Amino acid sequence: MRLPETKFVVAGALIIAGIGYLMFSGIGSSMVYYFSLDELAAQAHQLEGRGVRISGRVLPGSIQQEPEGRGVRFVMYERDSGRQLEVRYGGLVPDTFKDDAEVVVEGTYRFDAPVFEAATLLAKCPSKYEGQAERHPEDISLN
Amino acid sequence: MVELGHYSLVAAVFFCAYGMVASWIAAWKRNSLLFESARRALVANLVLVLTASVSLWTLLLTDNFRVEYVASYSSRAMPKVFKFAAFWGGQEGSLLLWALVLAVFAGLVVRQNRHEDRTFMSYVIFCLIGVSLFFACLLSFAANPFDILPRPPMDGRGLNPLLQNWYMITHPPTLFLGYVGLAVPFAFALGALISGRLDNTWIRLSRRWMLVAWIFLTLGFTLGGRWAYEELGWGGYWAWDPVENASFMPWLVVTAFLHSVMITEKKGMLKLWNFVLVIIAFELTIFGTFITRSGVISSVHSFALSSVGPLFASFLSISLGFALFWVFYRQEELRSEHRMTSFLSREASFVLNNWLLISICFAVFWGTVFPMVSEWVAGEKISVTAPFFNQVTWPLGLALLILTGVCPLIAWRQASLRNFWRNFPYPLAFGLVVGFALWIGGTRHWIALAFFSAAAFVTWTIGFEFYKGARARQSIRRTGFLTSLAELILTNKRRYGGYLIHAGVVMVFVGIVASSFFNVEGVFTVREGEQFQLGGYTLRFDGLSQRRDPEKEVVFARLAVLQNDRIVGHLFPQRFFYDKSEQPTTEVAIKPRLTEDLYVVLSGWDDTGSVSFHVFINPLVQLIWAGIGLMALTGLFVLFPDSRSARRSRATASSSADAAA
Repeated sequence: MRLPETKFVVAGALIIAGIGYLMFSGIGSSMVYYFSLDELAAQAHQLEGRGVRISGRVLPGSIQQEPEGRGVRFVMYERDSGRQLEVRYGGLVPDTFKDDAEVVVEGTYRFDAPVFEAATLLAKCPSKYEGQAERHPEDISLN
Repeated sequence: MVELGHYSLVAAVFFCAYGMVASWIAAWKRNSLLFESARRALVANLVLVLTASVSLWTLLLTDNFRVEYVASYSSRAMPKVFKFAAFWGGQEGSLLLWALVLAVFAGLVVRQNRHEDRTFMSYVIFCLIGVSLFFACLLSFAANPFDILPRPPMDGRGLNPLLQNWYMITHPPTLFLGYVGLAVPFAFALGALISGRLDNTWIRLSRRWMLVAWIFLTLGFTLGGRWAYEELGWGGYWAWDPVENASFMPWLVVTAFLHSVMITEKKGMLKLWNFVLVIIAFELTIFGTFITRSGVISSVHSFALSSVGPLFASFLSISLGFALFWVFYRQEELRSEHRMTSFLSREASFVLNNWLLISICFAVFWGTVFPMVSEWVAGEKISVTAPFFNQVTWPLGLALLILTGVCPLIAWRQASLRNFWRNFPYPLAFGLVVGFALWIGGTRHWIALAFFSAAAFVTWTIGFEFYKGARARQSIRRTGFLTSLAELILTNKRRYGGYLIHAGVVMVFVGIVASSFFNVEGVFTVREGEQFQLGGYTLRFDGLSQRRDPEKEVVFARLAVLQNDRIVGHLFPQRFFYDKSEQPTTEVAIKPRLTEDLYVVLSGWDDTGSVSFHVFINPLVQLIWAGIGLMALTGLFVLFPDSRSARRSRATASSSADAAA
């Protein structure tokens, strides 16, 4: 009775291979690198077309509402180095988004684009959070 | 109160440590005096943790801002009910809630099973009190809820406004009941492994707890999803956020367990696998509590910086290593009594179901810990986003859904071609017809078409099972069809309850697919009196108003919803400006309908009088909630014993002997 066992081993291997394939192809296309503005600047030339998640702060006074409620434009800056990046975000800004708030923007990096197009924007309240993205009560309640 | 609470927890550490030693020796030396003593240590732990909890509640309700925890999560003006719920507003209190629920469950276990075998129960107590010891240590040394502030403030900071709603009152305790409920089967499993009583007793005892945990986990993460849907205002209910995943993963494993035990009870197979599942489920709850409460994954801080991180990591590795050692030690005795002979059999469909559930769990786990692993291995924090989770779960979820329909149709042991022709043509045809009809109707999204066809196939199968059973009963008893149907369900709860839960699963799948692929949204900026359109709705903006509530200023827009030039309703999307908080919060206005939700967010306004709205139309979201409701209610219904299951549980004690013969 060796035969049935071989059959099941082969089937199991096939299923695992299938799931492995799903996971690897999925990871490749949805991988997002975490960067601070400084780290981004250091590696900018090799990030063309990559998914990046950039953290920084909102430069006070830089928030501009786009006309017709089509989103916002603002400048992100790094507190220590002063490095800046202009960002446009077309979606709905979270309630915590305001001057000097810590923000994390996510999008595809284009080396020669003057403005970073963010696909998502997360904001944290300046003083309150221990590095938490606002999404869930557990995250938020850590203030 | 502060001292009382703190020292109760410290004392609990000693009682738990003593209880562990006592219960182990009691089992080893068969000493009934020590066994009794260990039981009492468990009770002492319950009393102490309860004292600490009552202390914390008293401090919260009496606005004692000397205590850091109270100052952080409560404030004078907060309604009483939120002061009460602030208990689980932060890390320390949540861990205390864990310890409290665990102590209560442990007490229940010991009481319910006082007639079970002593050696087995000693090891069960050993495990329960071991887990209690871990939480007592955490609370006494790393996350003390009774820390005092050097300079107490006049008023507390208050609970985050986003949390001041009834979801905050219900969601965390529900989820915790589910999490902690899994510690009990873990203790039963280890009790069986260590004592060597490997018959189906532990499964019989665990199954009910697993079902209870399953119901609470289901409700828990659904409440979380509804909270996100109604309070966060981004139009969705599930974002594959680490904390959401943390509650989803144990649920998947428990679901796998509830299926695999059926095969063990019927066929004596998958014995070792059940132990593995229970152990994984428990470790995932500990892991889940950890990532939820420490924020280690979404946070920029690395793992080691979190104060409770090292403790959690050591407990995870010790308990996992300990449990796996015993599985390994007993593996020879856990051989299957039967071998599987064919893929095309009901046994195989259960095994495949388990593989799929565990695969989804593994993929979600991998995606969740990816930032941690990448930071550790490559020194770079890399996260994976929702597309990863979606890409993995669509195909696996579709396979699971189809399997739900195949399982009742396929024969045990070895399905034949005759079996296929007898059972499959009608449901398959129905599925294809529905798919084709939708295609004719203009649906071109192939994933959605596949899901809807599969859902139709499963619906037919389930419906036919009920019809067949009721007809058979009717022909014997000569009662009416509906009476027969009701009797059928009542006398065979496990089987037909299972089908009802599957019906709920189908509803959830259809709702998720519809709301993911067929939702529409738009952003509109209008002035008073102007109209805008989305889907079949016309919305007329009737003006912006302001009102003063206790604790907050409320700005709300008045919108009239029109269909075919007739007003069908009014919506008032709002923004809250809490006095205590600098950030405004969004209050979504939802017009729920059976077919779709009209979901309106007041996104902003300017001085010129133009106001913008973000509007979503989310199809069939109500079907998701209804499906989950059906699943949870049926779960409760199955939980209540009926005559048949009582007979069966009495029989299981001797069944393993029968099966072996």
